[in-house]
Amino acid sequence: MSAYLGVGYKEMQDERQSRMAYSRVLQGNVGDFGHTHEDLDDRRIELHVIFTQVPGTLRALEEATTLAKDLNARVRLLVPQVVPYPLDLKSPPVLVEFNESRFLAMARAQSVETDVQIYLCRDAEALLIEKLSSPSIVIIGGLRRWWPTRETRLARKLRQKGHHVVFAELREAAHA
Amino acid sequence: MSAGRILVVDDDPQIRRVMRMTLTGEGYEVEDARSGEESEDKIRAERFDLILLDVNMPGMGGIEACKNIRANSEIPIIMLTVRNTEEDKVAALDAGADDFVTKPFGTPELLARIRAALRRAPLAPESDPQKLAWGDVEVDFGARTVRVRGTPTRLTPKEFDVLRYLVLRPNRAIPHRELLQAIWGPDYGDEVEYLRVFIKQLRRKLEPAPEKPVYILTEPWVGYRFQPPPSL
Repeated sequence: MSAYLGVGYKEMQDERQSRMAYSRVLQGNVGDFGHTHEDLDDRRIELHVIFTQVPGTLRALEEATTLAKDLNARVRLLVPQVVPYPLDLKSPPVLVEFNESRFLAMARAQSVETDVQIYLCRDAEALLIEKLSSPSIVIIGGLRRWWPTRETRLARKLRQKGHHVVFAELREAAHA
Repeated sequence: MSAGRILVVDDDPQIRRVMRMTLTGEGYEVEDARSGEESEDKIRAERFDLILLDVNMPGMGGIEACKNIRANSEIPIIMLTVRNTEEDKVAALDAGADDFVTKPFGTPELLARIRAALRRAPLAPESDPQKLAWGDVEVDFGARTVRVRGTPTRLTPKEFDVLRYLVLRPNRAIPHRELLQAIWGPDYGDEVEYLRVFIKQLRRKLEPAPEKPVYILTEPWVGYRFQPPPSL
């Protein structure tokens, strides 16, 4: 029995590690943005924007920029890139370099300090729950419907984990 | 330095916009309110040197708003109206207005009347306390500085405004909507998550134990309340 448990635990550990094979932080937008030295010293908080879909993420970045200005915070765009099981975790269907340049362009368009963190993983939700230290300030953009959407479900899960989640609602016209 | 702080109270957004542009161009600091009710909130929260008040507004009209303001404050009030009858002028002046301008009016005339009203009433001393201290926290509202346990603590302008709004209304549960509209403006009201983030930051910076706040308390499903220690 104990041997069985031992094997199971090892498999779980392997599985846990295989959730994420790659993580890289890209300095998207660095500058003083009018901050004084005092501001920079005090700027400890980080706002996490989670990449969902392009329109929702742009809306979330917009909201995060407003908040970051009011809070002297910096923004980090978290991009969990899911690699399907048939593929090796280190060989995503979309080239990492392509995604990097795409997200860097998004980050550089912001008027506050913004960087990008890309993860290759099997399960985006599990990865976010594991990587975000509680309580974090998280901004998720998406459409709000009367039924739960992928974005509202993720927001609810993160709230349950103790994070402060700001849901940046995407207007229907902007999504279309 | 600004020539004075003016509150423009008018339900017409175009008039508010024009007034803001004109008065800002003349060196005044301008705030606006869409209704008599909103103007009362703003006057409670901030200090103004003069109020431009429209007579005809939905909800609380200008005359009633003027009476309410005059009951608590000596701020010069200039009433704006499209009506030019003797009764209207008498009603406005009896309600406590200092002057009366009929729309449409020329900008030079309005500016002259503002200058005259400000000359007659020298800038009033601030009615709100300049400094306040509780527990380990000292707040200087004039200098917009905060010290916690003797150490300067930096608050962002919005954090300071939220703190100021709460602290000047001790022991009162301030609804989310009221706080959002007072700090972020009339277009806000449903962004409760915003407030949570700012309150969390304030607690982190000011409370002895942020996870168990004793000064900035949450009123579940309502908003937030500033509870000063009993000695204050």
